[in-house]
Amino acid sequence: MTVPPRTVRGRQLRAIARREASRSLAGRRLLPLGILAILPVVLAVLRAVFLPESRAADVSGGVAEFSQVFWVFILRIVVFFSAAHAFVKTFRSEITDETLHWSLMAPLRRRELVIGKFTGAWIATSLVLAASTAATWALYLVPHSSHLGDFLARAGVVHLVRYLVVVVVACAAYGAIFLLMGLYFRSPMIPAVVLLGWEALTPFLPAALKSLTVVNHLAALLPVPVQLGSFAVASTAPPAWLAVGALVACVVVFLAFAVRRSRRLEVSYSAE
Amino acid sequence: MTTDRIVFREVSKFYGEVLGVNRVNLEIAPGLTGLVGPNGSGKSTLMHLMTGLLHPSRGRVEVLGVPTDRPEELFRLVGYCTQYDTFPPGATGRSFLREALSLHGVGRDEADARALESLRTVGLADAAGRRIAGYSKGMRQRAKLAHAMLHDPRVLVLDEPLNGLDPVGRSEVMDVVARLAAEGRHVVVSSHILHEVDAVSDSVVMIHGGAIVAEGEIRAVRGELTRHPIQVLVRCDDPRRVAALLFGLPHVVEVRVLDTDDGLLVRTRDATSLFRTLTGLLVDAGVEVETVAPADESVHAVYDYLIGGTGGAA
Repeated sequence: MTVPPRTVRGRQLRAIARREASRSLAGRRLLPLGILAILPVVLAVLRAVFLPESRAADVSGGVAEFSQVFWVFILRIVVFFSAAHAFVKTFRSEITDETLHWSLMAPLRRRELVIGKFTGAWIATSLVLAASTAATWALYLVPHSSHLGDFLARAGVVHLVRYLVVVVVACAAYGAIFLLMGLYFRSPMIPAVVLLGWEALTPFLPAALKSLTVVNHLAALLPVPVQLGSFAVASTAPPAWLAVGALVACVVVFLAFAVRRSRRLEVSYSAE
Repeated sequence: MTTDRIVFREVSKFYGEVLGVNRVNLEIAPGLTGLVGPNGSGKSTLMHLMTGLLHPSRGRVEVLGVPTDRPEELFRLVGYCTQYDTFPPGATGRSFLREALSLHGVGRDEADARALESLRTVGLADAAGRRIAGYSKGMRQRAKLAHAMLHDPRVLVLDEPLNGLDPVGRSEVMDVVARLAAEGRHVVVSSHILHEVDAVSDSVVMIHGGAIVAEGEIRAVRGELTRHPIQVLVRCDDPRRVAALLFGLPHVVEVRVLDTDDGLLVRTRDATSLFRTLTGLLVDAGVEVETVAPADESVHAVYDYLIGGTGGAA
């Protein structure tokens, strides 16, 4: 019985994604991702241990604190560098391990190869970082547990879901960018630092340039508005639908470039 | 373009300033083709170009009518055993082949059964669950061969497939390769052990310095080399008398009686004329002849001539 081509392509895509996800979650590749993911949890545990009893009733203070930690640390550092590590490695690790030829000898279009690898790394980073974010959020609220009833009834779960959505969308957007970087640069550290600098400048950029940063669109999805500081250039945040649309477009554009680049991939390990 | 050939048209490959292969025009027919050349001559580059792992800087490569920039079609036709001795981290023999089959779109259960069957075929069934990193060199070579043959390809490209195999393994692999070629598949093999390829090859491609220096059926390639004398071995009961007779022929360059005194080596610029006249000459002289055979048609000898060596008897 002949299997329809679409079924074959679906199986191939799933096989690549499954392989990439399991590689991202195993062995040496998991270590940096795991360390980054555990950092905010450790921070939250320390806060829970050392928070003065007098602040236990200040639930809104805890919520605001978490929003700042999420913005400054989780999103800008943990998610950014986790995505950098996981997505750059999708192709780069196969080049350095000299195993790329096994992927290139599979009878599948480079489009499926790129999308499969992206999906696998996206699933892996999203799972780890969403778990880390959820744990950190919960630990930030633990010291206020006796006063949480109203917050949880009013907005608690919605807050958590929106933070998780931001993490998942951020993994996709940064992931697409880093996957492309991994295809172009032997050492993507410099372009990654440039991107980090560009993202860090977001609050101080005029509105037109803000729209060219990932983090500006992510900010529009946060449940608690971000405090950008007194030197930030004021601008109106884009509506959530537009922010999501822009980030999806970013993913599509960067993946399209990655597919194009992947068609020129060669096995020439000695040149690396 | 021909759909039953592997075709190179004006193919060049440069690595920056370094030449990989230069203006290669080649057609490879079904059967077993030996690819011969010293290290760095461009054999692996040619094989990588054939399988789309390298893209030509100039020219075009097609395998049975499929351009090599279409992996989704190409690797349904082609199985490639590369020289690289690296495997996906953590892979066991079974998971390695199962994953390869799943990338062919084979369902999980079927992939698992077929992977095990392939490992059995190459004698690795007992090591199926072990990590490939712990395999011996010969076992890894067998795993690569199993991978190349996993999807029953019409074209099999084997880069130094005998590396790391013991004599029994070599013989088994060459038997399999010869059988596949006899079934009408394209089998392209490069090897350091030339006589093993030579023994089963239908044709040979000789490459040196990135250029094809000769191609075709081994005997025909040798015949084209009119500027190089061919060496013929005559085993007979009176070699000195035959030598005296042969000295008179215009195309004979040199005659040397063997130290064992049971034959002689004749070097001639025109092998066809020699074979034609030799029979009558020997009959007239009443010499009892055991063998008349080309002494240097092995790939080694032809290759030596082609790249400017002195040639030599087999």
